[in-house]
Amino acid sequence: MSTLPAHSTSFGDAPLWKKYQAANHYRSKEEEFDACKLGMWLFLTTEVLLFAGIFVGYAIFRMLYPEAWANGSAYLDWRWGGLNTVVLLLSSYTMAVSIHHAQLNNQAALKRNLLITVLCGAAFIAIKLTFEYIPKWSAGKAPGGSFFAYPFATDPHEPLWWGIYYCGTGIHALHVLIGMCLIFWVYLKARKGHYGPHHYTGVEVVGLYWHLVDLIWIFLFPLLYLIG
Amino acid sequence: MAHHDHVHPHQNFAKSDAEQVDPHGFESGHKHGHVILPVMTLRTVLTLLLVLTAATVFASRAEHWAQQFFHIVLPGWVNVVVALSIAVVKATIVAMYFMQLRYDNPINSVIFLFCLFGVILFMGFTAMDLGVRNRIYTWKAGEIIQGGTGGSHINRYEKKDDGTEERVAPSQPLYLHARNRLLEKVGAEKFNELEHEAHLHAGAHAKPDATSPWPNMANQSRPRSGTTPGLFDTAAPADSHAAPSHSETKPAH
Repeated sequence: MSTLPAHSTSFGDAPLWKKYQAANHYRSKEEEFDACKLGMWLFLTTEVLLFAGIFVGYAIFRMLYPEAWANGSAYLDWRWGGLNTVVLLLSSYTMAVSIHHAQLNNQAALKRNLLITVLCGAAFIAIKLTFEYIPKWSAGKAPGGSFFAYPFATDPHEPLWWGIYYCGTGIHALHVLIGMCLIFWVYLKARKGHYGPHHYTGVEVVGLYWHLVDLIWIFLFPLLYLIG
Repeated sequence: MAHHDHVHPHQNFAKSDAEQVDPHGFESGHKHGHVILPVMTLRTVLTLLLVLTAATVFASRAEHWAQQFFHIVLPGWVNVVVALSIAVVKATIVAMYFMQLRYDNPINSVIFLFCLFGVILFMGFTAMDLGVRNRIYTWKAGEIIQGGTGGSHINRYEKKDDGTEERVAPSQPLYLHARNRLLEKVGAEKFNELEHEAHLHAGAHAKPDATSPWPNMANQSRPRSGTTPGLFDTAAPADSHAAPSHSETKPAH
């Protein structure tokens, strides 16, 4: 007895998201969506723990060498850090909005918001490089070993501060770059019509990754720029 | 139920048929993570996040200004607590609304919170170690005393110049501390009496009772032998270069 409805593949010119079928090992698209999100959250926990290591390193050295940390924080300009915070928060907003538009099948708004998100990521990297990494590194404010060459340091542990600074913000910036690539990939798929009300798993899952990058910066910003 | 066997596949199903093909109800009642957040909500969240960013920057600037213009020096932890509290609030808002944990399957929140529990564990143990070292070091600085000082159980406080009391490491061995404590309590005469009495009955000073089958064995060391031959030998170990004495267990050279 077969009472299952035949899977219809005769959508004709229907957009790709309407034709989307869940992978064979899922009962439904719903279940596939939940499984994808669960997997993404598990991955995000490993990301949080990766940064937790850096934060613990920060805490240890801050407690051991408070003077170096006060000096290091004073070298950073909170205005660039603040601007980058605003840029990232905006991009998180546009990411959330693009999911909203995917759910409502506003294809133009979906693509527009994905692009704005990528551009915000690019702006973040550009600000970081132009006003922070490049001037600081060329002044010798670089991690220890063979890189540190800043002649006016007043605390012997300042090379260590720069180690934590570049490690924390560098790994974060790497995540911004990866997130930008992923969102651009989602944008390209959105252009072909892959995402819509029945299927927007890619937008949702990449969005989660992007929000986590924002989440990490929410902690990096005060720790590095604000508390001296 | 027999007439159901002839239902056309493309015909709409009655409820009983739906239950037949989906007996566990997997297809229904499974709406987690499909909430469409209104743009207005997202805008409110963004505004809130921006305001909180401004607040955290303002708080740290205010500390500088208070120091610069009014010569008010706030303790360092104030800004740390303020900045990190605001960061925690911001992170919670991002996780609840942008990442939609509020509307999501609760398992995702559980996973995330469990991970944060791990982070707190790392931070907590680090702080527990580094945060108390200034107290530990004064204790560790005392010279090593045989028998131990019982340091963690004997509290001794010394008045500092500013009137506060500081806990100091005990400087004498534990057994002397016990002795002196009783001496102070009962006085020298009574102490001597008690000591004499104690020595009559216990310890190395007591005479072994020759008639007892279990003689007092304190302070006696006896050679023992066990299952491993030679393990408890009191004699000096055999010279390893000498010819092996257990020739029966080793091949002859």
